[in-house]
Amino acid sequence: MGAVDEPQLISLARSGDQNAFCTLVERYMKQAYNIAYGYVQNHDDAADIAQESFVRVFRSIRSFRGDAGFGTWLYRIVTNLALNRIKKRSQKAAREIPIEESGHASAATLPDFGNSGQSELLERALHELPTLQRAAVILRHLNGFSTREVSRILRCSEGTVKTHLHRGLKKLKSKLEFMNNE
Amino acid sequence: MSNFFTHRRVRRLLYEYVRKELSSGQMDMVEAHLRHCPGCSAEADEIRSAIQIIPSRGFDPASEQPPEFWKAFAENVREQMGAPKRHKVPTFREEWDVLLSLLVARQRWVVGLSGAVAVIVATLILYTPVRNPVQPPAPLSVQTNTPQATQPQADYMQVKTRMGDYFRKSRTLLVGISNMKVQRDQPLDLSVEQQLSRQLVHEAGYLKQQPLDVRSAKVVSDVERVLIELANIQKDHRPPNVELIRSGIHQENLLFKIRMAETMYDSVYTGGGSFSRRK
Repeated sequence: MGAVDEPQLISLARSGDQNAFCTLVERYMKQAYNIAYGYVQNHDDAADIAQESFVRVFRSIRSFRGDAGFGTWLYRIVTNLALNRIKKRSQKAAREIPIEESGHASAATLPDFGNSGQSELLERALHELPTLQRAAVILRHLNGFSTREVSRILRCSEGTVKTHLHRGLKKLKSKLEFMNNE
Repeated sequence: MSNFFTHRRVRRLLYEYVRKELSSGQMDMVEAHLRHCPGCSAEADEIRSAIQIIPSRGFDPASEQPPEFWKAFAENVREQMGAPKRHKVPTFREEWDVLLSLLVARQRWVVGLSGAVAVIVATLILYTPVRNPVQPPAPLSVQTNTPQATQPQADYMQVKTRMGDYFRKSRTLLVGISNMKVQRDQPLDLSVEQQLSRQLVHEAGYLKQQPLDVRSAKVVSDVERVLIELANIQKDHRPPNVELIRSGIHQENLLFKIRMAETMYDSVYTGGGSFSRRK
């Protein structure tokens, strides 16, 4: 089924063909995982979010009209689930006493940005950004989506994406510089 | 005005310009603007330095996972696709988390709701005495005899009445005996007095079983002893026997004691109510 094009796979999946949908899963699972990981910075959570996103897409694929691309629709769901997960996590963390030894554990789950010394600082700075700025930086800069794709995933204009991206990058830079000088 | 739009337009293209993702025409336009605009040029430098610090290439955490991970990933999705939609029953902890998140997110509502609850509770507390009025005070004495009187009060009044009757009848009897004209060697007819004495002795037996005060109980016993002697006088009714009873009444100062006790119990009747002192 690898030679089948995407619209046909989507059509088959809408008719209940699970194999067709599994082909779509195999095509998009790594990118969905990377997007989720960009938000949650955790392999388990990223896998969980990506899987749940696929299941949700499958259950509502009959309502998929094709106005946006399948990937855009999927990544929008991934983004929403990831942001909800982060929100719940931050609310839970605000009520719980942090464990001091967690610093080493979080460092082990950091993405490899090519400079391991900066990865922890980058993660901290990234998570201090406002939600939309963080989403724009993750999707546009880290995941490499085009501005148009990001605007569709986030359901906002391209100009808004660029504004959030620029502000997010500058804020990220100043935070990293401040953290390096500490 | 056209300058403003140019600045705005150029600044929106700076990220793509730094990453060289623009078309050649756009690249030339931005470069031409940056040569003459230090503000936009500084902005471009800032984005460039940020991008250098935050590398975009190499961000591929999915590549860290082995092929088995992705095989299991796809199988897991397939299993969940075939499974019926889960209607997960939230655990207590999850519900508690949701509640807390609502409390945190809706602090104003929580404060308002707490205030309303406090007002309701305070109102209930303040109006509780109105809904449960204080019991009326207990009667200060047993002088009233109303139909609403409780059973213990009725029994007490009955004892008081019988005590008064007992003392009054005993006094009358003993006064009669004391004032009786006795002629020597002439028999006396004391059958009525003796019958009344027996009745009073019987009444004394009842009264001694009641919770009386010490003084009243002693008077009842003293009177009872004389009444027993009177009831047991032999039928010949010789004057010496009667004299013995008279001497006993005087020695014990019994008529005075009876009168004092009778006064105390007569007060029951004079305190108002339906009883009246029976003369």
